[in-house]
Order: sequence, then structure tokens, then C-alpha cells
Amino acid sequence: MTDANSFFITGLGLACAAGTRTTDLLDAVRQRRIARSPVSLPWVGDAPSSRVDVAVAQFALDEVGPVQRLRYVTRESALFLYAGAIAARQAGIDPSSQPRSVGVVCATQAAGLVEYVQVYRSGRTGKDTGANPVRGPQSSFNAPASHLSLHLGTQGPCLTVAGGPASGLTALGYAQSLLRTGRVEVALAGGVDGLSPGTPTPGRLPGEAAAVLALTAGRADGLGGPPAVARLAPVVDATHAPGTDLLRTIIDRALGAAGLDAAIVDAIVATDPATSHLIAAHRDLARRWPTVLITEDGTGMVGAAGGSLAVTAAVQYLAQTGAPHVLCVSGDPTTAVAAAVVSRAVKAGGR
Amino acid sequence: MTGMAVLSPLGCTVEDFWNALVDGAVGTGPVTRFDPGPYSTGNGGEVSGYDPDRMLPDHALTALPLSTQYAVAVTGAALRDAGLAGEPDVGVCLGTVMGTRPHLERLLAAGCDTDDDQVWMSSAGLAQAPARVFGLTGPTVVVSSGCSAGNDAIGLGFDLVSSGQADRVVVGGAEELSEAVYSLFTSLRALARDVVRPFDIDRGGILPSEGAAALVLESTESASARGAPRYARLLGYSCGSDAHHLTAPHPQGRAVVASLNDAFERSGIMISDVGYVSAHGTGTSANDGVEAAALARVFSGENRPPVSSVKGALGHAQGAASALEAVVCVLAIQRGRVPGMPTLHRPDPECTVVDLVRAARDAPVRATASVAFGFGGSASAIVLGAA
Repeated sequence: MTDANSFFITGLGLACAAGTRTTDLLDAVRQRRIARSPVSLPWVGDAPSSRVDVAVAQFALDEVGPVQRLRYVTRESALFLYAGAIAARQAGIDPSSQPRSVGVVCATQAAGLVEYVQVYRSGRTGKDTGANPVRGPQSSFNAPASHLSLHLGTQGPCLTVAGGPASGLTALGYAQSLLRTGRVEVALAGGVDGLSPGTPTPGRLPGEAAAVLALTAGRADGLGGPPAVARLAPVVDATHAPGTDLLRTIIDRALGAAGLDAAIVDAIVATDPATSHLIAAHRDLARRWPTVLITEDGTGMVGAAGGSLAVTAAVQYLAQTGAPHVLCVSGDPTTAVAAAVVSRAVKAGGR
Repeated sequence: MTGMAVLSPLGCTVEDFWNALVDGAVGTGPVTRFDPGPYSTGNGGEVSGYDPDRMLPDHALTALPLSTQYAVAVTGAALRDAGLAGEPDVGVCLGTVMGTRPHLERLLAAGCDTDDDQVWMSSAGLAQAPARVFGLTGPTVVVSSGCSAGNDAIGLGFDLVSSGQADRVVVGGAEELSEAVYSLFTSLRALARDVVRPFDIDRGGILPSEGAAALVLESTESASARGAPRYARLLGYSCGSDAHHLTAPHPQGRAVVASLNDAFERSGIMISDVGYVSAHGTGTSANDGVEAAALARVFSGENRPPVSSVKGALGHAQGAASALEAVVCVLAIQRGRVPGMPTLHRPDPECTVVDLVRAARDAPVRATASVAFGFGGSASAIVLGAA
């Protein structure tokens, strides 16, 4: 067991419409600037969908070296593999020395869904070619995490959380649990989602993205290993219950888990516009947190990738502003949310 | 473990399930949910005796995907069994492979507009729906790590309770029969034509099935404070990856050997204390020989524990499989009896390196181990002991 509140971020990798650099992500979010490309969304019915504007992730997979069976790697797997390999590189992770000490945790809502439908239609109607021994197995939620594990050679836990926007932070909480119980020394944890089938929500831009953090426990600068870029307090999550204010509940619990008073948290980075709307509707919250950044403003709707993108944007916000703490909220506060405080890394001896 | 519940092809009560299992019943048979004509088998495992009007608290819940209904039903039944009905401070961690996606097949087959009802996108509902229905306020997580997801959900709950993050968590798995699985395994040439024959020389593959199981994990302090009866203790859990191939197991069963050894190290018991091993035993040519050799390597002492796979009786319920198998392990400890493999007629010499159980037998079982593998190369193991 380790210190239950000390989780350090030692590497970050991302791929989204804003690009692959944390500065580009934060700039896009702050300026609410987003590149739009017209594409046909994946479809599950009998007819292809019409073209709509979406936020396409900009990244080059060849930056992470040769990928086995590349032509069978789905879009979600490619996104997650890229972000995870970059995070591992930045954190100096070398699984070949202690492969079981490195784990992978991925959150996703849509991974494998298009392939699932192809496999189904292939068998049912013979109109598709999805059911084959190589493409078929890509139809599971856990394909992105498995591809990253195979690519890096990690032999620790390889786990996937199937869920919506809140699950992005839940996956980081899962990784914290693996670290807390000593199952791994480092976890590559994050989320990925590609473009989902179905009609887009009116007024919102569908997107695709992945973001992965390299997380360690109880380890700060000067204590060996790579320097930490930030600290992640324990993730908390909650589901809406009648008669409760889910946003206030989750904020209180996240601050409590971090051992912080609300007064010293500088800003909120959330995934969903509903969070900023709710904060604006509560005068006391709006006064306390005039800065509420919404990652969707720079990436489009990216499902389970949002939580780790919010943490990534928060890390960059801390670096740019010198603020000590930022609160991240993933999910829709009217249904289910997860939250955690991101803080500046503390030098050894300074904690 | 202070409560448990099952929905399975062998019945929807723990007693029916156990009695059928040790009697050597086989729950797989002709598929009725869809026309299996295009596939290399017409058989599978469908939940037997599911009555939503009796097992769900609200008829409106029948609009949910079947996998979510199953999750709600077993969560409610397990909480009642544990005497925790109405207690809000409970988390839910359930494993699945396909989540709510099979619901999409039903909509497409019925010609429904898949935009109107997008509940098939919401696999998080497997844990969130029971939490909402029963007013549970603890963490909700749906684990989807391939066919070891049930064990991994149990393991996550174990970590949450043992690290003090939660006092009570409903753990297990839920799965709905998926036609896409038939399509995929037809292409893999890994579907059994009639029945699943784990560890048999004539084994031909899996039969997809469905079901759900839930177990209530509770801290010792919580169970003691309310004087709750205890079925068994979860002593250890571990998981890992082969880092070898997306679908083929590592030839030496690297991840399962490492996971078993680590789970035992964490459990504080000796490997020789184990009186029963619930094998993954899918009945595929790729799995069973590798698994038997891996188990023989771990359980290499003089007293080899009896080993069986219940997939011959239940089919492969994927994310629910190892959750159902955890219930089997609890019952083996409680009842001092281990289930056999009614479809095992000609044991494969490659697999007889372990003590394969053909007919249920009485055995003193102080502790059990249950292993599971999954596509993607994951493997996990749990160790259970007497309460």
C-alpha cells in the first residue's frame, strides 16, 4: 500500500482535433477554436449517414514506431496506442525491465462498436466482411488497451472501463487503485473515443480523441524516476439521485479527497458544457470559480476521452498560470460525474 | 462475501443453479433468441426461468437492454440476500464483454430506428441502472477486459473494500446473448456444434451463452457490525497480460501463471490449501491444453486439487462467466462438493496433467482458485477461502 493521496503524473500523451501538444489543447479550449471537417459518421442502420461537420484528431501514428498488423488497428486503437506510447516515452517507461509493474487502463464508450455492427451484419446478411479472424476481435471494448499493451510489451493489468463521459476520470481512479494496492508501479491510464454512430446532438460537434497519463504513486521529483509534471488527487465519482445536487456533491467530495479548501482551487476544467451552465446558475459557485474551461470547446464531443483530456488541459493551465490547483470534472452533472483535483507537482522535501 | 445471486441457463436461483450443476445438467441447447441459421451451430446458452415481472422492481425496466435488466435483477437479489436492501452506501462493479451492444441487434432485427433509442450505446448503464434503481451511492464501474472481466470486476471491488474506499460493493458480471459472437466465432472456426467439451480430445469450441451473477463484498468491520452471515472470504486477486497476441494465449500461459502465483502471494494461504480450481476451460483447441499445462505448473505439489470448468454446462457467458464461476467456488467451499464436467468423455492426454473432475464429487474445500482468460491477452485469478 502507498500514500492514498499521492499520485504523480510523469507523462502525457494526447491526440485530438487541436493536435498532440498540451499547449495546442489548452489554447484551443481557451479560445474555443476548433477545426471542422465534413465526414460521414459511422452508421448502424440500413443506410449510410449524411455528411456532417466533426472534429477529427490530428496525429501521425508512425511517430511511435512500427505497429504490428497496422491495417487491422481500428481508429480508436490507433488513437489510444499513439497517446499511450507518447506518455510512456515522456515518462521514460521501459516495460522490458519489469513488464508486470506497468499496467494499462482505458475508458471508452464507442471502441469496437463499428466493428461489432460489421461482424453482426456480416453473419446476418452477408453484406459486410467484418467477421474475420483478424478484424472481428477488434469489436471489443478492450481492443485499444490490448493494442497498447502488445505494442509496449506490458504484462501488468490491462483493463478497460466501458462507460460514457464520466468514465474518463473513473479510469484514472481505477489506475490509482492499482497503484494504491501495489499491483503496478506505473499505470498508463486514460480514455479514447472515436466518432459514434447516430445523429449528432443538435448544437454540439462530434469529435474523436485520446489522452493517456503515466501515473505513479508516492513519488515526487528527486525521489528517483522521471520528474512529475503534476499531482492527481484521488478521483471520486457519483451517480445522480433524486433530490440531490450532484454538482455540489462531487465538488465537495473531490476537494475533500484532495484535502483542500475550495478557496485555493483556481479554476475548473470540465468536459461537458452542462457543468459551466450549472455553475453559472449558482451564484456562489460562479463567484468562486470565474474560470470554467470546457474541453469540448477545443476537441468536440469525445466521450470517454474527455476525462484524461481535462486533466491534460489542467496540467498545462497550472504550468501557464502558476496556479496551485485546478478541479477537473468529467461527465454530465445531471446524470453521472467523476472529479479530481490536479495540483502542481511538489518538489521533494516540499510536501 | 455476504450475499449472492445468479441468472443462468441452469436457473435463476442459487439453489437451482447449484443443484443442476452438481447433478450434471447441461444448460445449453437450441437458440431461440434469433435464427442461428447462418452460423456453424444452432446451440447456445439462454437464461432459463427469467421472469422480469417478478425479478425487476418496476415493469418499466423491461425497456432496458436485457444485459442491464440482468444486472438490475442480480444486484437486487444479492443485496436482499445480504440483508442490505435499502442500504444506500454500496458500490457496483460489474464485468461484461459486449455490454448493451446486443440490444442493437434486437433493434436492427425488428426494423426499429436505432437513433430513437440509443440505450445500446450506454454500457455504463450496467452499473448505473442498478445504482439508480436501488438508490446506491457508491462507485459504479463497468469493467470490460475481455472474458476475464467478471474476475476483474470482483478484483476491483476487492481493492476498493480492502483499501477502505468502500465498505460494500456488489461485484460480478452480466452478459446478453450476442449474435455477433456467433458470427465472430464462426469465422474463427471455434464454435462447438452440439455441446462444449472442456479438456476433451473431441472439443470443438465454445457455445456462446448469457447470464449474470452478483456477489456482495463487504469489509470485515461492516459485516461484523451488523452481524451479517458470511458465505466465504475473498483472499486474493491478481491480473496481468500475456503481451503476446490479440487472440492466441501465450504458449506457456505466462499471464495466468503469474496471476495465480501473485494472487496466492497476496492471499496469505499456501497453494496446497486449495481444494478446488475453477478453470476457464472454454473447450477450444487453443485454450485448454495451454491452461492445463499452466495449472499443472502452479499446482505442482503432491496434492493436486480437483479441476473443472462449468462451461460445458453453462456455455461461455463471457463477462458473466467468471462471476458465475466465483459463485460456484463459494458454493464448493460451503457445500464441500465440487462440480464435474458432464460433457467430458475422452480427456485429452494433453490436459490430464491436472485432476479433471468428470462427475461431481464430495471434497473438503477450504479454499478455491478461479482463473479466466480474455482476448487481448488478459488473465486473472481470484482466491477464495472459507468464511
